[in-house]
Amino acid sequence: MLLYIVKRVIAAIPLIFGLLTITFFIIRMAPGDPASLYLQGNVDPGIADRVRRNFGLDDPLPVQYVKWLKAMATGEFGVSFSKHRPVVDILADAIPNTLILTTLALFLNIALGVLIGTLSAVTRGSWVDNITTVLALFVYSIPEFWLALMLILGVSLHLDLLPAAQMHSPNADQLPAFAYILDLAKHLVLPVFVLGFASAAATGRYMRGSLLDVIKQDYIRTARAKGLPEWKVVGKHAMRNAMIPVITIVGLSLPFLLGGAVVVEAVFDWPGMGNVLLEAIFSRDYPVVIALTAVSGFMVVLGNLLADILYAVVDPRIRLE
Amino acid sequence: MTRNSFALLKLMSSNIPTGIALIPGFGHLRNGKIKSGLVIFFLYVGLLLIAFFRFNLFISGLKSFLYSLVLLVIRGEEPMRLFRAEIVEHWIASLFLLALLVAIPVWAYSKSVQRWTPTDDHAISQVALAWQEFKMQRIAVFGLLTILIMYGIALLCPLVAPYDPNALQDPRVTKFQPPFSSVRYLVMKKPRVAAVISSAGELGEGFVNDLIRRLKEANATLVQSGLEHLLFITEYHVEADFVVATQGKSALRIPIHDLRGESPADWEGKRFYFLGTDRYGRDIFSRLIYGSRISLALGLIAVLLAVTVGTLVGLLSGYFGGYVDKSLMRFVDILLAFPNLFFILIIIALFQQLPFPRVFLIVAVLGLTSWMGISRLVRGQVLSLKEEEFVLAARALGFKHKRIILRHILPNALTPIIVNATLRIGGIILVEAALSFLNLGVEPPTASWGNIIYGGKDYLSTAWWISTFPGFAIVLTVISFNLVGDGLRDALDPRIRI
Repeated sequence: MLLYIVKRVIAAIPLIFGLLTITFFIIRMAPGDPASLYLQGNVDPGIADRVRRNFGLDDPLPVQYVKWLKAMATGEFGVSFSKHRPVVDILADAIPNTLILTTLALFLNIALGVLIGTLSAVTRGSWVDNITTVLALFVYSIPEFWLALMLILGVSLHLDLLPAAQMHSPNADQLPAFAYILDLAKHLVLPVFVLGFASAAATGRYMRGSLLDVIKQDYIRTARAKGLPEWKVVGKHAMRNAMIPVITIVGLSLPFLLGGAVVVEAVFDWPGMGNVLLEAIFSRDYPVVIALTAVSGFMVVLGNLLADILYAVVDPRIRLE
Repeated sequence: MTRNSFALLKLMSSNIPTGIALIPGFGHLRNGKIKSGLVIFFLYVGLLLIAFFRFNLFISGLKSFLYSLVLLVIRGEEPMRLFRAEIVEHWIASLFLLALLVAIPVWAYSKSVQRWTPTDDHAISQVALAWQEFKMQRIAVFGLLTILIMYGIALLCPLVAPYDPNALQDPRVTKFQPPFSSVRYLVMKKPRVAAVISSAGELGEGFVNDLIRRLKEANATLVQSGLEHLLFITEYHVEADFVVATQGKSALRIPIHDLRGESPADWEGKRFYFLGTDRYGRDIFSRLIYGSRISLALGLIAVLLAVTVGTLVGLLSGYFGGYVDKSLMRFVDILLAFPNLFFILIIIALFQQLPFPRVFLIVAVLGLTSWMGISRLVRGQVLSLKEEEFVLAARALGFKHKRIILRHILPNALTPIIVNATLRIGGIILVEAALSFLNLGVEPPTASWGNIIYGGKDYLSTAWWISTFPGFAIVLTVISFNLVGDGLRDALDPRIRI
């Protein structure tokens, strides 16, 4: 097992390396000299030169590339233009906010997805299956941001049940601990629902397919033949194997935990990574944009790695390959 | 429709005389194909209605195209000065409508008088076989029909859209009109913009000048409809030589001779807003129709790009294997490691200063970030096809790599590519809408479904209709593509066919 993990980790290193390389070249390919991105408007050429030297832009390209790799490896992302704070600090503020949103959404996604998928597979061909199939297709085709707006329209504006935006109420700081958490929870309901609901449709389809594959197998017939109740056959024998592909989703969802909520964060004005990115894009805050690319790319690689390892944990055959 | 009345309709239609097959759809009805017959018939009626209600625009569009063509042939580049994007739009719409009006009856007639004899299965081509399978899936056919109608509307949009999607007229009165409301207006004598097309008087006699004059007239009709000066008002009454009109709280006094015609019937009118208006008083329904062009065209082009690149990489990687395969697949792995929307946003952010409209950047980015899945798929196909006997035979015959790849491997790998591409279009349309919604998509004032929703999101409590309707359009389109994709997968998969 350990050997397998080590192998996987070693395989991930060139991936991160390639990721950073491509990011470097995309940034260099973008129109305009990076220095001119830092300097807005007409600046004295002397100052522009100095900026260029400061950023090491007069070095030859390979030297710049090595410096870039070094900076990314040590997490030196520089200082934000628009906020005049170190990028690392900005990210440190935003990451927990996004994580609480996306982690809950991921739980909802898997719980709902497994439930729907199982229900659909067990009742295959019946009206329950047909309805869930059609519903899943429908949900899958709804734009997230539109669903969010419609929920705000119905639940927040018309029924006035839940807050429509932000993470806390304006007076949240003065609330006692319990009320503070309740306030946060209220703000979480809609965004978590939007994020989790749409992806649950996909997970449900996945679960259905995989469960149907498993149910056909001989050992399930054996379980039925020895007189086990159906819920035990499905719940204990079939589900365990059917969950394997679903577990992969958990691993592959890791990058989603940081970057998957851009649109939803924008709609709900959630102070997370997505909003940081959008703000950075609109104010041309390049150090932040670059840092986000590197961090999110890193998360994807980590997610793939985790998926591989989880896979090996649940399916011992893979370890031996 | 109950089964009984359906049978009755079938019985009735079998007595229809042959000549009636000339009416589109009736031929199918006569042959007992009730559903196809009704669909064809009502589609054709719809087209006729468009041609009837927009007759002036339709004919002017055809005239404008014809005159321009003739002028182009005899005078070279000169008429190019008269070309404008919106006129080309009208040409496309008018020509397309004409083509449909002619082609549908011809096709329907030839189809319905054709004596179809069941041949044995071996005589049917793969495509016909797949189509037969596809037709069995009602819901997929419904999706396909929806998509075809949507593309039709997108091509016909100057004729279908009731108003100019970008016209800003008296927003004080026209803004935030709810669906199914209407606003009254007065028509002024002078057009809104002083004649764009210069007067025909300066031209001399002769065939060419005559032609130019006619072209200008036709173009004027096409452009004019949006240039009429309409004064939108809440109320008005006549006082001696003046018309006193109110626009919300302010009042206006307009001399009667500035209005068109003599009597109120000549100068007053009403504009009906089917889906309401936005904060500038633009008609949502027209914007929705024009916006469909962005989503539909962009989805298709981006997918074609993705399929081309993906297939190429997959073929090379799978066929040549070894070194080529390893490096290409590593590259694919790295690209797959970028989180999709995040990555797209970052590229668009970095390439903000562009000498061309952002649509092209978006097409390129969407296409070039979604080919990796296809290339893996194609590679897998090629790896298994490579070992098949017919490929080995082709190789033994000494065929070139190019021929083996293009003639023997690619056609056999095409099925999953087509299915995957169809299923991918929906996803690409969703991403485009999200980009527009984040205000990073198509630049306003060009309408796209995403940016109409963006424009309405701050007015949800007062004007819910702005953001609501484009969402339905997106859902309908994406579902249709997914249905067709699913249907194609089932129809093209030979394992299911047996």
